[in-house]
Amino acid sequence: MKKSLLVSMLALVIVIAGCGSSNNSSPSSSNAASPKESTSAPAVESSKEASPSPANADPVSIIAYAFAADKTEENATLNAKIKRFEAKNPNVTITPKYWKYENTEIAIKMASNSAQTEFTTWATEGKLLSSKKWIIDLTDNLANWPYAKDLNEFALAPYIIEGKTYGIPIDAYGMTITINKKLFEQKGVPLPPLDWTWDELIEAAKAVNDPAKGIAGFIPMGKGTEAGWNWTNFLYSAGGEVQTVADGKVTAAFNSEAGLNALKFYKNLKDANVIPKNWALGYGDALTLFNQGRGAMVMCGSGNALDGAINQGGINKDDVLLYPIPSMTKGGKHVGVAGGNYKVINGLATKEQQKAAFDFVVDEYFTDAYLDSIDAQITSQKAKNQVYVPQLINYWNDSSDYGKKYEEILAKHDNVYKYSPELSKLMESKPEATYETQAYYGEMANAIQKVFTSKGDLDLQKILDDTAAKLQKGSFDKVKIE
Amino acid sequence: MKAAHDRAIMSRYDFRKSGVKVVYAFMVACIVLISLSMLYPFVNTFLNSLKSTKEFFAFPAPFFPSKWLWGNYKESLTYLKIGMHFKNTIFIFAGNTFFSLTFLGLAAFSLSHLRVPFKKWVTLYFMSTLLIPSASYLIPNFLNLKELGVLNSYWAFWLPAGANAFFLLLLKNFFDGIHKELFESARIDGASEFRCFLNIAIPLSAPILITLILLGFASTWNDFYWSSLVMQEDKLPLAAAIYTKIIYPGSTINWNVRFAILSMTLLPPLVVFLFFQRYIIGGLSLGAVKG
Amino acid sequence: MELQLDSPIAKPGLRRRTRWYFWGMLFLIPEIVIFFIFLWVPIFKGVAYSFYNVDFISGNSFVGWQNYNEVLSNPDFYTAIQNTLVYMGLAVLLGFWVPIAMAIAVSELKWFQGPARIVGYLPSIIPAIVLYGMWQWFYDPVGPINSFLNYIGLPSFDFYSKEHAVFSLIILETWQNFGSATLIYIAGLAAIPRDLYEAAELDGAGVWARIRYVTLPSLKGLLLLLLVLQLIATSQAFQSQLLMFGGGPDNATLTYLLLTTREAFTYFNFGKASAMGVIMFIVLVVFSILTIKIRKGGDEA
Repeated sequence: MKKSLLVSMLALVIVIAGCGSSNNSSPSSSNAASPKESTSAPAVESSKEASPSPANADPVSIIAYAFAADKTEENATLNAKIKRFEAKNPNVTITPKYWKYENTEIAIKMASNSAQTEFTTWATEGKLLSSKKWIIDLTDNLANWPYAKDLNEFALAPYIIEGKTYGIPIDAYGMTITINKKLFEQKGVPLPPLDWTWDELIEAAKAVNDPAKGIAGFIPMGKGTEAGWNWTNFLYSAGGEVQTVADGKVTAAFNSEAGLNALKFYKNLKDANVIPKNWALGYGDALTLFNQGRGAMVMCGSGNALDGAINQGGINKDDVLLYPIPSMTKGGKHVGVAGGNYKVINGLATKEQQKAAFDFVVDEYFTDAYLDSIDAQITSQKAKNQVYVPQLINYWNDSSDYGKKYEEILAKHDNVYKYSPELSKLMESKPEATYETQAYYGEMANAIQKVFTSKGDLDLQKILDDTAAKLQKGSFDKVKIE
Repeated sequence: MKAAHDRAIMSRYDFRKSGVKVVYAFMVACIVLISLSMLYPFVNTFLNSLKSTKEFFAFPAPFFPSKWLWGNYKESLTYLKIGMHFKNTIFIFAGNTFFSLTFLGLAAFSLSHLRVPFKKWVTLYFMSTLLIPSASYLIPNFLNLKELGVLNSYWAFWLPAGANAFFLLLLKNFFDGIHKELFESARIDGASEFRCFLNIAIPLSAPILITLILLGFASTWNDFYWSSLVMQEDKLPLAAAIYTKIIYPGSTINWNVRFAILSMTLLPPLVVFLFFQRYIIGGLSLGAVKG
Repeated sequence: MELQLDSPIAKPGLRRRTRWYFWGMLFLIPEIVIFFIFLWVPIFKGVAYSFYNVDFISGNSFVGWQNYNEVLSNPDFYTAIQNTLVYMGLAVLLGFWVPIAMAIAVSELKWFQGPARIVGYLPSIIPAIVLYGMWQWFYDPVGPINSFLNYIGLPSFDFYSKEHAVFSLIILETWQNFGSATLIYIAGLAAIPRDLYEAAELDGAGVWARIRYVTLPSLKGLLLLLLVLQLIATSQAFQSQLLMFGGGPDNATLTYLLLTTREAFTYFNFGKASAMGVIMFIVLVVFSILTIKIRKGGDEA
C-alpha cells in the first residue's frame, strides 16, 4: 500500500546499487584489495613538491571521502593523511565524511549539495557525471602536477572525455573468468588450457555441468545492466565494437559480424544447457552461486570474484583459478572489458575547495606512504587469515620504479595472491563504451534474456539489429558531442 | 468481553457437523502451512547467522549449523552501535505514531462526523495524493525538507508522517461505521466535539488504531533508503545504519556476521507485534455499537 | 448530519457560518497544512520538473513538451503500461481474496488466534536481502518447490520463463503483502456484532450463509476501499519486478514505475521521470472520476 512506496525505494536501491557496482569493478573487492588514496605513513619529502603550501591563503574547508565503519584501517590512514596535509596547508580544514558513492543516491546528493568535495566513483560514471557537470575538468590541475605524466595511461583512459581529464585513477581491472577448480577435480575433468577458446569454454562447461544437482558449467550474468557488461567481453574478444564515433555522431556497431558471433556463443551456451536455468542473475547473485559451488565459471573484474570467494565465500585459495576471456579462435586475442575506480572532484564546490580537494587527493600519490599503507593492509589481512588480492592495474605503470617498489612489498608476504605471469601476458583489456553505456547495457540485457529464455531457433541478427535500432533512436542519436 | 468472544461466525453447535469439521481442519492446515512459510525466513536467517562462512555458502545448504558459532554475534556488535540506532528508530516511530494518528484522527473524524465546507473537494485534496507515485517527486520532496531546514532532525519524519492519505482513508472508513446517535446524545449532554472524538471515536476505533500502529511500525522499521538520505551518522535509524554500514555493496564483513546483525533486528518487531496484536480486537468491549 | 435542524442557509452571515464550520475546520486544518507542505509542494515542483531539463549545476532550462514527447515515443512506455495492467489484473484475481479468507479463518481459530493474526504480517519486517534470496531459492530448478513436484512425479516448473515470470511475481507479492490487508480485515471483522451471527444461526443459516449474508455485507465498505487501494498499490509496483527479474526477461516484467525509476535513477532524466508521474496521475484521476460518475449513474437508475 502506501507504505510500500518508501519500502520499495529501498529495494530499488539494492538492485541498482548492485548493478552499478558490477559495471564498475565491484567496489567490494576493490575496497578490500586497495587502500586507495587514503594512504598513510610519513615520508613527507616526496609529497612536498606536489603541494606548495600557501602560507597566508584564505581558509578553505573541504569534506573528504571516508570509509564505512568496518574499514577501520582505511579510516585510520585517511585521518593520518588528513593530519599531514593540514600541517602542510594550515589554511585547509578537512572533515572526513562517510557516504559511499551509489548511482541511485548521487542525484539527491548533488541536488542537495551534500556529497563530499572529493569522492570515489567507477569507470562507467565518467561520461554521465561530467556531462551533468557534477564533477570538474581536472586537465589544468593535472598540468601543474609533476606526477601527472607517471599516471597509468590505460587506467586514465575512461576519464579522458573529449580531450579533457575528469578523474584520477585509483586502480583498474580487466575482465577475467574465475574457475572453481574443485568442481573439475570432483568430476575428474582436466582443466582447459589458459590460452583457451570459446569452444574450449563450452566443452569445459559441458564436462562439469550437472543440472540435476543444480550445478552449472558457466554463470553469465543475465539480469540488469551487468548482463550487457558480461556479454560485451565476447563482443570484444570477437573483435567487435559497441559504437563508432564519427563526425560528431555516435553509431551503434555491436550488430556486426562480431556481435552476431558473440550472441551465437550465448545461444550455444543456452542450447548446451550449461548455464543456470535461473537466468535472472545479477552481479551478487552470480557470485553467490559461484561461492556456493553451483557454477564452475564466472566472469568478473580481475581478481574480484576470486577475492570474494576466498575471503568471504569460504572457498580455499588453492581451489580457484583465473583465466583470461577466451579467444574466439585458437591463437586469437583474449580481449575483455576494462574498468576501475576513480577520484573525482565535486562540481558544486567553490574553486578554492576544488583546488584544495585536488591537492589533497594527489598529495600522497607516488609516495612511500601509500606503499606503507598497503604493507599494513596485507599484514592485517594475514591476521584475519585472509588473502590480499591486488588489482591487476594500478594508477602507476608497472614498469616504473614505483611499480617495482610495489612488487617488492607484495613479494614480502605469503598471503598475497599471485597472478600467473602467463595470464597477464594473454590478457588484453579494452575500456567500456563512452556514450550511453548504461542504456546500451540495459538494451543488450533484453536481447540476452531473449536468447536465454526462448526455445528453438532465433533470428539472432534480427535481435541485434532491432536492439541497435532502438538504441540508436532512443539514445545514441541524442548524444551531443562538443 | 467474555460474551463477545464466546463465538465468531461459527458456534459450538456447528462443530457437530462433519462437513464443517473437514473444512475447518483444512482451514487450520492452510494456516499452519502459511505460518510455516512465514517463519521459515526467520529461522533460516537465525541459523545462517550461526554458521561458518564455509557452511553459509555450502550447497546443498545444511539447515542447522554443524557448530553453533555464537562468536558471530560478538563480532557483529563491534561494527555497529545497535543500541543507539535502535533508540533512533524508536524515537522516529513514537513521534510518527503520535503525530500521524493525532492529526489524521482529527481530520478523519471531521470528514466523517463534522460539518465541513466543500467536503468533497477537501476529501479529493487528500485522496488524490495517492494517485501520484512518490518516486516521481522524490527529489523535490527531499529538497523541500532541506529548504525547511529539518534534515537530520526527527521533524523530517514526524511532520510528513501526517501526510498519509492511506491511513486517513482507513480511519475515515472506520469512523463512518460509528453511529451518529452516539455523538448526538453526547452533544446533548454538553460534550464538546473534542470530547466526542477523544472519549467515543477513539476507544471505539481501537482495532484500526492498533493496526495502523503496527503498519507504521513495520514501515519505519524497514525504511532505510529515505532515512539514510535524511539522517546522518549517529542519528541514523537502525535499518539505515545497517544498510549503509553493514550490507552496503562492497562490505567486507562476512555474511554470517551480517546475518547475525539481521537476526538481532528481527527480534524487536516480533515482540512489538506479539504485544500489540491482542489489542486489535480488544477495544470493542465498550459495547456493540452498530446494529 | 441530516439530523441537524438548523442549516447555514437558514441563518446566513459570516459569523454564523464560521461557527457552523468551526469544529470541522479546526480538526481539518492541521492536516490540510501538513498535506500542503509535505505532499502538494513537492508534487507541484515535480510537475514543474516535467517541463524542464533538470540540471543542478547550471540551473534548469525550460524544454516545453520535450520530456513528454520523449516519454511517449519510447516503445518501452507502452510495453510497461501493458505489463502493469496485466499485473494489476492478475494481482487482484489471484491475490485480492487471500487476506479476506485469511482474516475470516484466523478469527475462527480456537487456539493461537493471537499469533496467527500477525503471522501473515511477518514478511514486512524481513530485510529485502533475505526475502529475495529466499524466493530465488524457492523458485530454483533444484529448490524445494521443484523438488517436491519431481518427488510426486510432476515435471519441474520454470518460474523464470517469460510466460511464468509475472505469475511467479504475483505469488511472491501476495505472500509478502497480504498480511497488512489481513490485519485491516481482522480489525473490520472485530467490529461486526456477534448477535448478528447468533440471530442468523437461529434463523437456520449455515456457516457459508452467515459469511455470505452477514460477514461480507458488513465488510462491504472495507472491501471496496481495499480493492481500490490494492489497485493503486499494484499500479505503482516495481520492487519485486526489479529485484527478482530486473524487469526481464526481455521486458516481460517491466512495469510503469520500474521504467520511471529507471529514468530517474539509472539515466538521471528527472524531467522524463516527472513527466511519467504526471501522465500516470492524470490518467488515474480521469479514471477515478469516470468510475465515480458511472457508479453514481448506476445508483440513480
